[in-house]
Amino acid sequence: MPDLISTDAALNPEASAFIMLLLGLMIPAEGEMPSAADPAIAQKCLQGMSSAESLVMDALYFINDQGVDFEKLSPTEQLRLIDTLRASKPEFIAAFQFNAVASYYADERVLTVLGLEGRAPHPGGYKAPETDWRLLETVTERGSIYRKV
Amino acid sequence: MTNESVDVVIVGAGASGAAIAWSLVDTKMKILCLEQGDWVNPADYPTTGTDWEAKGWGDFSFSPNTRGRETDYPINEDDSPINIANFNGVGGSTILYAAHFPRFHPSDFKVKSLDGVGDDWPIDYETLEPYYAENDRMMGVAALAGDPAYPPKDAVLPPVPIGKLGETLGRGLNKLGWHWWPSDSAIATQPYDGRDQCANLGPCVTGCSQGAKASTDITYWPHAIRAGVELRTRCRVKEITHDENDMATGVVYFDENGDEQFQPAEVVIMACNGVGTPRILLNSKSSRFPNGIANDSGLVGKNLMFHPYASIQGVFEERLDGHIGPGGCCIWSQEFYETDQSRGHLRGYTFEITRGRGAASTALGGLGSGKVPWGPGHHQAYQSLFDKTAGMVAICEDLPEEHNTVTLDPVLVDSDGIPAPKINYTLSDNSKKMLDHAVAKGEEMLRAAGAVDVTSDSPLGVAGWHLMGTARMGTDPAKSVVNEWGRSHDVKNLFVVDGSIFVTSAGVNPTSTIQALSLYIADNMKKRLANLFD
Repeated sequence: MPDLISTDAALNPEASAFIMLLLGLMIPAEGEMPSAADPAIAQKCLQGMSSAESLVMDALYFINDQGVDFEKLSPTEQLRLIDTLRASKPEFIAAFQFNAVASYYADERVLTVLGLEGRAPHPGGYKAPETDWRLLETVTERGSIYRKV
Repeated sequence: MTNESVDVVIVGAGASGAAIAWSLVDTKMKILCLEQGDWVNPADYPTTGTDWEAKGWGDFSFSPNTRGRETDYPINEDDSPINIANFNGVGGSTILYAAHFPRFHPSDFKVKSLDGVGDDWPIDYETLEPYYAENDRMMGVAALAGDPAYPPKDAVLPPVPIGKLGETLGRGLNKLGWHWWPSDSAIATQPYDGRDQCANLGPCVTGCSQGAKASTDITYWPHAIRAGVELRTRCRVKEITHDENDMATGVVYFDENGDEQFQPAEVVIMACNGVGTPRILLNSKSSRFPNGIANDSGLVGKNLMFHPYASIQGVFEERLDGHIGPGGCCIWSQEFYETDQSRGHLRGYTFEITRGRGAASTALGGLGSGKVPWGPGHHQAYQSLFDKTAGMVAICEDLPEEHNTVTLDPVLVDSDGIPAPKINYTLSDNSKKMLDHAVAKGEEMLRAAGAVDVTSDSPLGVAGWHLMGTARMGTDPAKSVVNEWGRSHDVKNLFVVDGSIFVTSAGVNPTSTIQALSLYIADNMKKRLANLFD
């Protein structure tokens, strides 16, 4: 298991390490995109999962019961086992995906690579292009369509 | 504890309560509004952070059961395929609404006469038209005049920009020869009445940090309070009391400390939405009104209408800049609004074209649908969806059916011990057929616009945004709860001004009509002040 990053999350070390492993497996680094196991991203996810420790431990026990050393499996084999976990422990998968995605896709580096300026919408906002209202000519040419009463 | 008496007590500070409070200040009466929630600080709205999507799924969720604030009350939705959405605070559900602001059509008031279903309203479009216009000015509605789906109406502010996404779908609609128009939007596209102009932040439905969206905490309320209305927050009303002459005497509420107080009033106005209002009416039991106050008809809580929604989304090959502009306000199509029996259903629906999904929502949706995998293919699959997904929701007219109800849950209570509402609702066959029609036509439209992959979700389970019909208006006391100007048939100083009084639902977002009705009822009260209780 990877070293546990510094965090104030309430998850126990075993559960935290399991979540870290899953984050790297779910969203690996590629090009300019960081891994979801990046320390800054993972810390937010661990905090988010801290209220779901029983779900995490339940999932971890399930993995341990499969008779393999999950950490030593290849990524392909790990993902195959995650599919089994998904079918057996959907509540855990839902909670994990929710927190992982909420943490990863709020990271300024990730948003920047996606072309979103890496900032909150407010106060900067966004400039919208002028609308070409000539597009409506075919609609107006047709005339009134509401039902007269 | 008994408070000093007031002339008028309004219960609820949302869309309708704010409008009637503002209108009634002309009378110089002493007006008090009791609101169970707080004022909301715009600096707290999610769009001030990059994690705005997660906050929108939590503290600012439109589901009170998910949000679970101290100021919320729980709702039992176990027997409904559609879940309730609301917000409890000054501004009510306008805090989290999309500000999509269509009016009803003239035909919507004559459903029984025209199509033989539902009931006709006791008023018509022409009666409400001046109040629609007045409300448009108060809310600051952005629109483009000339929509052929409506009788002529003025635009207060320039329309919202529709952006690349709107133009892409508009071209698709043009290929099919179908109607579309920029949405009437309660959004300040220019500085207006102290509000800043829209900065195209995107997610209006988690609250507008810019202050451009017309939530009533920043439209009606500043004017009403300046004119002398008292607005008291953290006051949760439990019941309406009455005397031996069947006249309301005031309301009992719990204050912010949980202490029970009595507020005497000459007039009681209910403005708590189509779930909150019947909840309080049903909870106001006495020997005279064993089934709840103002319920001699037995119709309080019955005929609950939502708008059954379908979501139809398409994936395009190029980016659409969908994060730019008000999320729920872009263009609409009312091609299938008016009844055409050849479609296999009666009445119709509006297509509300929405902007793109956020970065996290795109990922969560992709993971849920299986289009975005875990592992090495994650980024490539994600990039094929992000900012390339566009689509719409179909807002289908719901028809009144007495078996769709709000009742009092026998077990579940809020933090003050007041029974929670319980929802029992089933989709009608007409609604199912309409939803199927909308999904098919939505897909046709998206393909015409260039979508390469289309998916749908129908009925949309989270979409209980519009709560209507549970204290319907009418001229016959046996078939309605309030008369044609909002006064209870049974209790002549008790009024209802929210979506509860809708007779039918139309196929559009209701806030514009809720507020127009509230202003109309206020005007009727003002005209009748000398004999208001006759």
